[in-house]
Amino acid sequence: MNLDINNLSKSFYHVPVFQSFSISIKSGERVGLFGPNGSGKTTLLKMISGIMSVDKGEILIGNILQDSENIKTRKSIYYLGHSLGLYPGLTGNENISFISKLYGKSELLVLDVLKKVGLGKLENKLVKFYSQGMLQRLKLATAIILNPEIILLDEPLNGLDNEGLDLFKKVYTEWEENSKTIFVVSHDQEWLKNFTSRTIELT
Amino acid sequence: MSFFKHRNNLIHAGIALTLSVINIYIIFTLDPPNLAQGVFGNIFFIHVPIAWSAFLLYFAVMVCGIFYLTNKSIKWDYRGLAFAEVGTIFMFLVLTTGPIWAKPAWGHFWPWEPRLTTSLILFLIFLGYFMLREFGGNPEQVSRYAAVLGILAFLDVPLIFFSVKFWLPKMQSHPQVGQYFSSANPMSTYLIIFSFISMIIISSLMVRFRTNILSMNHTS
Amino acid sequence: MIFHLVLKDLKIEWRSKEIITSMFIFGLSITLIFALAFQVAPNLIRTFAPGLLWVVILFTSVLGLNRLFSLEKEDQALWSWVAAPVSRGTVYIAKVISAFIFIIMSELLFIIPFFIFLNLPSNFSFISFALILFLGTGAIVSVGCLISGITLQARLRDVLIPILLFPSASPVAIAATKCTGLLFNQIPLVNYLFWLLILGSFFVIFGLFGYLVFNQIVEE
Repeated sequence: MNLDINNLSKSFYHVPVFQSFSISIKSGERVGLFGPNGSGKTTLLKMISGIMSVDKGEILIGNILQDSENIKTRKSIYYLGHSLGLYPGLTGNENISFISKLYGKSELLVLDVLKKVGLGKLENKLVKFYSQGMLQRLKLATAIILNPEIILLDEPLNGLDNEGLDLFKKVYTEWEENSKTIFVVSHDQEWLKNFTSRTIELT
Repeated sequence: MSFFKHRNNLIHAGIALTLSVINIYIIFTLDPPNLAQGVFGNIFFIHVPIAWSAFLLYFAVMVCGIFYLTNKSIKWDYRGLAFAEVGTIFMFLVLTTGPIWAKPAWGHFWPWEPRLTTSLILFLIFLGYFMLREFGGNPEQVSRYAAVLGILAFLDVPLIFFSVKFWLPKMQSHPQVGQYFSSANPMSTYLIIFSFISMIIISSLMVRFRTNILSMNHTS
Repeated sequence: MIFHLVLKDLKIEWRSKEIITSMFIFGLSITLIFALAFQVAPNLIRTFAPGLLWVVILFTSVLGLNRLFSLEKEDQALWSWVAAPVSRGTVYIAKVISAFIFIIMSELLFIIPFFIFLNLPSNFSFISFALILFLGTGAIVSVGCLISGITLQARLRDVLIPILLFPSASPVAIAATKCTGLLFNQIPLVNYLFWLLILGSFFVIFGLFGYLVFNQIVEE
């Protein structure tokens, strides 16, 4: 699914972060995004996912306008963000089941996916007791189960140990093979060069 | 003051000033039509038109809110805020002239009269509105929250009015309004309409002036 | 979908029990203060009781609404449904239902001590009382969830919720107090249908409005 951003503008406290920003990402492309703090990397991903609204301009997902009224476009995107975006008061299993219901996905795979990311034993533990690395794995599990066409990754390598990094690479390769459109924000430019088809610098 | 450089704005200001001077002169020199209340009774000619304009201004906040939520143009946000500010000034005047009139009419300063109570509650909601504007978060989001609150406030008006009206059935309406009007002497009717028109002209000037300032601050 | 959203709130609350417990204990503490403060005139307390009851309910509702929406801010849990293909109006309805359940539960807990501490008689129709509680709570919750939504990103959320909720919900306070007062005097239900109508229309107006605008106001 292709992603087009046309003339996007967004400001915070009257300070513009984006002014007439445009970018076009073809289906199956893997795009890396880097830039200094405050350049709007996270904001851009949040706007694409629909978590944040845009001031001006349009975001087209598979040629359909991303809009708060239009719920269809949100089905094909998942934003793996800095924060958890899930409920600390629920267990890992409950969280994944809840979000898969919201996306209309089957819950049968929840346990398999949790085992795949190495959280099989922790499925009934409350998420608030998870460590940073476990939370990162949980988000990865969410992305796997929702199986969206466009995946937005915000610093996906943060907090992962070596085992976690191997796991992430494996999942990432699977996405690559299934020609998912991927948009990654990372500080690690070396990593971006190796794993994406092109990189964009925001200033 | 680039606002007054435009000739139309100057004319608007001139008319507003002239009308209010005439209006105030008439009200102060008029023989009180309501003899029971004496000269204080004349506050009727200023209190009632101010109250009408205040409700009209708050109604305009709601209309601006609806336009802002549907077409997201920042102009409607500025207009909404300007109407809310001027409306609140007018509401404050309603709440000060009301008790001044209530003292001679009822014998105490605060009658729980439905219109006056509705004014007070709306005024309180709009104090919250300005707090929300100030502390609600990022201004681009707050504009939307404020639009929603402006609509919410006016949707509340009929409910507040009817619940207060039947809460204390003794306080059915204004004090002896009937005494001001008689078919033989239509002077009072003309006066109140004149006063209302002058209020509308003053408030529209204030709103246009504020809208102008708000849009200058943020576009530069 | 609504079911899953409500179930999620209930599950979290079932584990922590923090919303209902804090509302119940807070309600109990205010009741205690009222009981002590009104000891000067124990005979009059029956007249004041309906008003006091709704003051307690409004205060505890603010606490509950604040906690219920804080849930969504912890670890940005709201992303889960903001980014999901779910209409945000649905989320609003789910929140109204969860808030209604929590507030009714806490009311059931503190109403017995309320009656005991204030020495109130209990010779009235419990079904009518339940109806008044349901309608009143529903009305508070419909506007309360909307206000919690617009203050979700605010710095001063804890303060803004009561500041905006109390004046907006004043028709509910008046109508519910009136109903409860008539009920305590054993006046049959048909005599205060007007007040039930006010509560009902409040619930419908703000429920619909909240459903329509909620997708404009929730976002990070």
